[in-house]
Amino acid sequence: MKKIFKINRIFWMGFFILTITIAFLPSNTSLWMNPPEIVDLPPLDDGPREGHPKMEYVLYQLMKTYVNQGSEKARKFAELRGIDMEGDLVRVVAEARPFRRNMPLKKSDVMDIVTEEDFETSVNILSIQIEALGGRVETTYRQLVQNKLPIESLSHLAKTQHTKFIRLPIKPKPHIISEGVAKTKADDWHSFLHYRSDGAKVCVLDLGFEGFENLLGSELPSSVNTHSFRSDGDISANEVHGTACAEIVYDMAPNAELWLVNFETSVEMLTAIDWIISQGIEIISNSTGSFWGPCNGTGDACDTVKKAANNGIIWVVSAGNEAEDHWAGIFHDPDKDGWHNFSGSDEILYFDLPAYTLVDTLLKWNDWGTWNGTSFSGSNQDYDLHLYWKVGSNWIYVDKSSNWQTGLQSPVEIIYGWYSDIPARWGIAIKKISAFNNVKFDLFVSSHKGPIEYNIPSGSLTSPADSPCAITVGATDWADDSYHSYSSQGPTADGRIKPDMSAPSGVSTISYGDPFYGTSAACPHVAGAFALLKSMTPQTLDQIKATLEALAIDLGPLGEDNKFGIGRLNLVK
Amino acid sequence: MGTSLKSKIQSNIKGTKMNKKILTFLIVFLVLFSYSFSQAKQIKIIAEKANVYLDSSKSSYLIETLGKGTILDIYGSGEATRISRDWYNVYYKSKRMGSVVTGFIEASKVELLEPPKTVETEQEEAVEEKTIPKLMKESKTKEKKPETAEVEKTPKISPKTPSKTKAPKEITVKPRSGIGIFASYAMPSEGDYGSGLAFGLNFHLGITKNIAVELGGLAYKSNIERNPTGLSQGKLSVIPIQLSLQARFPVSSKIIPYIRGGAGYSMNNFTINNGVTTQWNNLGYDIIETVENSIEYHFGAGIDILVHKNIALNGDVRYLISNTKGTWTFKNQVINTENSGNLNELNLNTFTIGIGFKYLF
Repeated sequence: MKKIFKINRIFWMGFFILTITIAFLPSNTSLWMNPPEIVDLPPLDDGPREGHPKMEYVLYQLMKTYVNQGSEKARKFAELRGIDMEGDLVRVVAEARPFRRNMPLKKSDVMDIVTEEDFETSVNILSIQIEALGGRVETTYRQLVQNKLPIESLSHLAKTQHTKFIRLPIKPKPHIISEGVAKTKADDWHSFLHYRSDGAKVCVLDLGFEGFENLLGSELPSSVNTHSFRSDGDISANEVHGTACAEIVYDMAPNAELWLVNFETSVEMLTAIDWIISQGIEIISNSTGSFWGPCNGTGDACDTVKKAANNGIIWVVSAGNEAEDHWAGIFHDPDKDGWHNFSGSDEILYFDLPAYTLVDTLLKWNDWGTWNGTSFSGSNQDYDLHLYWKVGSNWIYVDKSSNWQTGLQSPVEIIYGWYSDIPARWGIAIKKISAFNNVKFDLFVSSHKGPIEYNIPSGSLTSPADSPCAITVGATDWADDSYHSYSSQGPTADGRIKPDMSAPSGVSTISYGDPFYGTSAACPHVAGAFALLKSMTPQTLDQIKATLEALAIDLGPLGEDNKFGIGRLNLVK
Repeated sequence: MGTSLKSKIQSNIKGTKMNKKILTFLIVFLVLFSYSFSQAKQIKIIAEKANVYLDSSKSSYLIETLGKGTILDIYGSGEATRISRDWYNVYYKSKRMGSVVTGFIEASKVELLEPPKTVETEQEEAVEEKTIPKLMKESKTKEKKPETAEVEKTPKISPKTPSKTKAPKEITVKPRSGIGIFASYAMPSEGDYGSGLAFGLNFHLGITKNIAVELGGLAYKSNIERNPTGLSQGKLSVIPIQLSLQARFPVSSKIIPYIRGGAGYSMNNFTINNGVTTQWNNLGYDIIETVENSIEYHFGAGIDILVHKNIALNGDVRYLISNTKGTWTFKNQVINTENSGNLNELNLNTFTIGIGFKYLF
């Protein structure tokens, strides 16, 4: 009896201690919204390939969630991943395949010369199909059809022969992070009258202009022209970014005629350009960018800039705020396990995010194929992107992006939407699925503080900052001309120096209240400088460009460089 | 002694009688002389020179040669004063001789002058006028009517007195030439061009009493307010050299209004305000604007008032019509480029009003 009690006492004491320990374990190891349980996590090697070759992987996941777990779960998944939903309609972009009646569709869609007529039939048919599937076309641009489609119809649309690929809309981001007026000596111009100028029309092309009406006659001209290319027509769009940019343009060029144009997706931005050209606008200030494209001056966005330039428009664009968010490298797998090694045996690149900050990662590689004027031929080098979350000393698999790259698809993988309720360390890994070339990667990890692991600022431009027809602007501090470490750097993938010049950032605006940082703030200073000289002198825009290049104050290494360009904006000799 | 006295008295009485005769003769002579003097006609020498001979013959002794304008009394009384058709018997006080002399002068070299009227003569004429029967008066007035239509309205005046209503008195104004200076106030029509003082010089050439030609120069500066499509802020100097034709209408020998019209060549020059060029210079730019010379036309009116035989005061208004062109150049010092263009239709029309002086030869 005594022995049993002794054994029982030890047992119960141990049980009590274990219970207390378990009860008081810290509860700081949870992911908000659908946290994956440890027991459900797939191993690092996650088994057979899923997805659809003509559909972006996250849409495949959405569709799978909808089918398996219902509408509500699907909407929650969409909310987590930043997917636009309207009830059970999901906003997507369908890329049409070029179609000619006398030419049968080939496996490869590479066509030497593709015109808009080649897409017209496919786009028309796609539009009809979308309507027939219960969807609604929002806008089209060449081969791109932006629409809202029932989730369950995604696979049907993907199957049609006129569909090349279905993806989420690319949403250019504002480059956020007018002391700049005095710094650039723009105020020297404000004190006297123009000389034989025809005036200047400058457009701020941005995401939203919330509160602009309240600034008319004070921080903005007494009247402005506005136009929204959003599907909902909302010029404000709950976004003050555009208003802050407009304030800076007005500060620099108070005599210029100001136009405010907003959009949400890249397709909407592309459709805006024809209208902007038709209005006789001469200068565009565009403080947005996306990671889409090979960053070599090709692609839809760069072609749009080129079209604007061919119509005499100066397109000023922010370089991007990705210098600390960027890694670049060639696929390296010395241990032949199929995972890229970032350094030595390290196959995970980590980054830290504050609590409630969304994971926003994009991986692309230099296998876009040939740009034929409307689309890239596509990649056949297939890689996936995996996301991990650090728990203790272990990396926990969270998610992956597994778009197919079998020859027609874009070489892009995106993981977006996860966040933690506490500051967390995340990691990404690159897995080779089917590739025979060692491609060069560009990885972007947004929204975190400080540089990511293995940060490489070089080559961190967004698009269309890589366009040779754009004036790309980097950021310097308005007070001391120091380089802002977030300011994206060149060169472009084809070796050109970018940005073209730098301008002040960290300036005051009414819209933000706090200092307005980022290349977003720098860009409107340069656009405003163009507008100022155009509205004050009889010079052409080309002459003004040459003048600004000549007057720029050289910073950094002597001559043009990939941080400051030709120098910091200056308006007086 | 008694005899001598008596004889003296008798001789004195005889002498006295002789003196009385002489005295009487003299008195009568003087009376007649006076009468004839009071009634004597006069002649005036109209030739450059006229000889006075001792007799009515050129071969007789030449007493003296007199100049044009010399007035002589005709010797003798009454209306018939000419000794013959060709000669007048005259007398005058000779400077050469130092006394009154008589002689003969050719009638062709003199003209008969009207004797000065005396009060008695006027009164006689007035009485004569009153006593003329009404009918004759009327006939007189009726006779006068053909001469002038305003006879009834004019006051009664001596028929010998020239009437106002008769043919206008001819104004004798000779065409004269001269040189003048003047100052005027120039008021450009263009709203952005400021007004200012103008100074000028002219050469006046009288051709006839009613026609003159004037060659003149005028110089003025106008402050330009900035016009976005025209000239910038600055100073425009205009120097029109004008040739005018004047139509002159003298109202008296001293007051001559005129109208004028003509054309000329305007030398124009424009300078941008120094402050403006400095401002642009500081930014790295140069601005240059030029204005071309131009043909100008003008018309106007004025008046010359002779204040002295050689000096006339002049008042003048005129309107200049002048349009010109210009150029502008905008130079970028930084990249060494130029933008330029034309300034078309620069309106230099100007109204001037001024006064001046002319020295007439």
